[in-house]
Amino acid sequence: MIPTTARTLSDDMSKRVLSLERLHVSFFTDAGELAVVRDVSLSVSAGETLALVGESGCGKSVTALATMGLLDHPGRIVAGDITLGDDVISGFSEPQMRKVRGARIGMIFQEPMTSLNPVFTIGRQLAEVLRLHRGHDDRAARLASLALLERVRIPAALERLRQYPHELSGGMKQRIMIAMAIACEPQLLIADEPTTALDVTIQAQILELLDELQKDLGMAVILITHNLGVVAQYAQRVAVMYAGEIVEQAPVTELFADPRHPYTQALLQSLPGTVDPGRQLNVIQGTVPTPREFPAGCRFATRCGEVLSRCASDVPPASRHGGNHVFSCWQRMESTS
Amino acid sequence: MGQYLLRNLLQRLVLLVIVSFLVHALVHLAPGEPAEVDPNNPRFKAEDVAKIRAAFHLDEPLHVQYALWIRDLFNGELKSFKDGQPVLPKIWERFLNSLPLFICATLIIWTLSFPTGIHAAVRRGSTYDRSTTFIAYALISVPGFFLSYLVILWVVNAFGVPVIGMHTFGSEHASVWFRSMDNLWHLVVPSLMLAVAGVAILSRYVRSQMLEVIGQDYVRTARAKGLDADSVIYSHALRNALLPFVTMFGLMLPELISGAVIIEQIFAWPGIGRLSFDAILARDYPVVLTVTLMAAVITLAGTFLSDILYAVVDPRIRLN
Amino acid sequence: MHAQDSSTGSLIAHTESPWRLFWQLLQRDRLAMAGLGILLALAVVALLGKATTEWLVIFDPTTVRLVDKFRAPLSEASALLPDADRPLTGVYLLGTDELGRDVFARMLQGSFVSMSIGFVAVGISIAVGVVLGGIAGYYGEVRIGPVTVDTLIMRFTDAMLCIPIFFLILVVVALLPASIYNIMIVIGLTRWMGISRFVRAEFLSLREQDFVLAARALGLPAYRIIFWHMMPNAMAPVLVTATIGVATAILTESALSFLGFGVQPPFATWGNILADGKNFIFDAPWLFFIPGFAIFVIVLAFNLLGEGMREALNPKLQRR
Repeated sequence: MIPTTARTLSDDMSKRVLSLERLHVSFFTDAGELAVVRDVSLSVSAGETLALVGESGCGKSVTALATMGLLDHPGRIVAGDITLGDDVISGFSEPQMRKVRGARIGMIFQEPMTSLNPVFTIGRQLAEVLRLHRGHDDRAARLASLALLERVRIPAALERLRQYPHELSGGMKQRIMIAMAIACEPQLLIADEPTTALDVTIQAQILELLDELQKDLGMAVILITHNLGVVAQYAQRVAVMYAGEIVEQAPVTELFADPRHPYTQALLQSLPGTVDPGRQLNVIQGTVPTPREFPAGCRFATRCGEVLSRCASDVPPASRHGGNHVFSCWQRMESTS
Repeated sequence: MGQYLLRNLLQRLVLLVIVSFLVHALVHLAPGEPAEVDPNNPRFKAEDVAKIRAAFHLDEPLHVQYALWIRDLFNGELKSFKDGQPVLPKIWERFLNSLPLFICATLIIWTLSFPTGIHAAVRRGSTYDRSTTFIAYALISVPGFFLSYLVILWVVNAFGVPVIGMHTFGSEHASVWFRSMDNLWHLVVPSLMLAVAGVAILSRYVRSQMLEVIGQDYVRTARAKGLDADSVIYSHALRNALLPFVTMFGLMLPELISGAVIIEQIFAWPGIGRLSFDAILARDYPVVLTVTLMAAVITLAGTFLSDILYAVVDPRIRLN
Repeated sequence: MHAQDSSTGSLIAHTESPWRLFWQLLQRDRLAMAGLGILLALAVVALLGKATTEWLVIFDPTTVRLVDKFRAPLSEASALLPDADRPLTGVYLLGTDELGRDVFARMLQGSFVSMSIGFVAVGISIAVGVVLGGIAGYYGEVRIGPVTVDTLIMRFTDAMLCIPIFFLILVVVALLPASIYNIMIVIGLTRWMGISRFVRAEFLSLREQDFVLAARALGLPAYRIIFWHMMPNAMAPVLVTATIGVATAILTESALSFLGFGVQPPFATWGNILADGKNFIFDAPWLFFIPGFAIFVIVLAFNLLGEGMREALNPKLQRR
């Protein structure tokens, strides 16, 4: 058993852009503290895409918002460090964080329809970020905005700048969101389910665009998704989250070829195309427990088909399988060792 | 845009016609007669009653009375039952007296409730939020005239200034400074009382609107850009939260006119509220009917203005 | 925030019925619970008041004792008084008024009258509002001549909204013979517009929902769909409006009393005790402050409870 932190996972320390170390986030509600993110460690390097996978409500978005310093009351980081480049940003003050958001970390959201302010023109919303972080004047901001729109493949860019969000389609709006997020060439781009709300044909275009921009800018990308197909195509590494914890983390090919955690296995088996035609797809029994109901030990214990007696009471430590493959499971750990 | 405004205007004219029907029917269908202004007056003989009835067409069928009312209203020939004076100039004169009250109260309502409501929303759950919430509830729960009397007592005792009437009786020959201060006191206290309920209600409404908007995705986007809290709230959120208030403006006018009836009575303010109260007491139908109709006209004009403003500030309306 | 909503949304999986959830949320609101407590206590007081001042006269609100005019609260009855006129225990708990009537007994009697004015008026508003709103929402597309039912009802509603409501109430109450029932009816008939607009909007959206479509596909009769399937879904917010409406009605009655058009003797209401009391504000301040404060407390209680209910029904808050 090796104590695992993000450090042990990283391929190339010098290129690492972001690392979360043992991050804990809780919601402090009337009903007491809810540990919605527990002991999450991950890292992502320049030019790399890390996919964060899990069912809705598993803590993916909360982790992303914690990284941005955008957790709202009653949510709060209880423990752990977030390091961006050489800065421990989890210790940053709000004014310091403002210089990070939009400049060093860009973020795009799930709902392009509602993520742009309906009463401002596209031009103004784009220029805002450039004026803020780049100190551009109106003219420079306008030129830069035009360039950005062309970069995200928006035709008739000049005209778009004068338009309001309701005049654009969903895919177009998501391109604008992307343009805003990359306006200051951030080190890290967090894409929180960027295509979930879009038509299937548009989804592929948006993902292609993200892929291309990443190659051009050399950004690190955290791609939050519940679509394993997207993961296989666009990510280099995957972290699987379940009920606020990362249960398994590995390079994409390895995870798909040799999943260790029972949850990951179940997830993969529930994908069409992974089992022989004609056989029924696997369904994971039960539902994700609510934070109030989280078991004290392994949080998957209530739904796991291979549960051991200790699973419910003891938290399984992270264990290694090969070079870059980490998972947390009592059953698998014992069978491996 | 032009078509939108035209349709809007037409709808309002139709509404105005409905209002005039309604008001006319209500007043005339109620039992009791205007001729009974003062049945105890011994000089009021049966032939006088008959004369009055004839002079004011009260023996005609209802729809004829309605037509005559409207005709006289537009001719400017509508006369008060009570003193035979033309109604419109009479109402206009009193309205001008009330206007400072309305303007002052409106200013108080809008300038106080916005900062209060926004601040409460931003600091949701704080002591400030909870205390303003409670104060707002308290203010809408006090009978208006009870509160006014308390305030009058307090102002008179604490500052020694009388606040009844439009200015202190006999102050015509005092210095300019004294007169303007005197007028100010006489204006501010009743305006404040007229504004109390409005401030309480509007500040609560501002707070809930702000809370609604602060939870929107685009506010999160603004924060993700690295904007500071003030820019997020006052530029991104407020602009959106303001939209519904544009329509509130027109709808608050009838409340002000209602409030004026009581406030002008308490403060002996010779405005439109007192005129209508006296007219009601005297069963002076032409005045009552016309004041009510005027109130509706003002309200409709207010909402019409609101709609135009709304179209200007909300880009989503412009296209439709 | 959206992302957090989606996570916290599943944090608290609700299996309870909506009413139990509503009750749980309401219980967390201390102000609303205080309001509810006060109202329950006052309901008991009002019933006891009705019983002890009319059915079994323990406290006599009508006895005139000219020897005991303007007695301060807690003062003892004069020895000159015949035994039959003496208040219980020989002490005027809340003093006496200008006719030597026991204020405590009058307040007790008034509590029942004031509350019943509030409840009856709101009952009427709800009935009218729900019926009109329901018809507009459910049968809205039916045409009568050139216009739809919906247009007809909604234009009528809009027209009513343009008229200053209190002003309208005053006109009608002044024209009608003075009677407590007229006051209840008039207040009720002028405050249904909010409810009807709301019910209509709710019905329009419910109409399109699957369970209603299913009920219609099954061929259920319209009244059953309306009252059995749709009404319960629209009722909760109507209750909120009603709660706040009772508060407004009580305030309206007191304002009418102030202008001399309130409930006439022999009925005592908190409103007319207060309105009479204003004349003795210096000589007998308790005649003013006791009813004023009582109205404030009861109206505040209704408002706090109403707002608490509104918050508890807010789907956004329910998820938190």
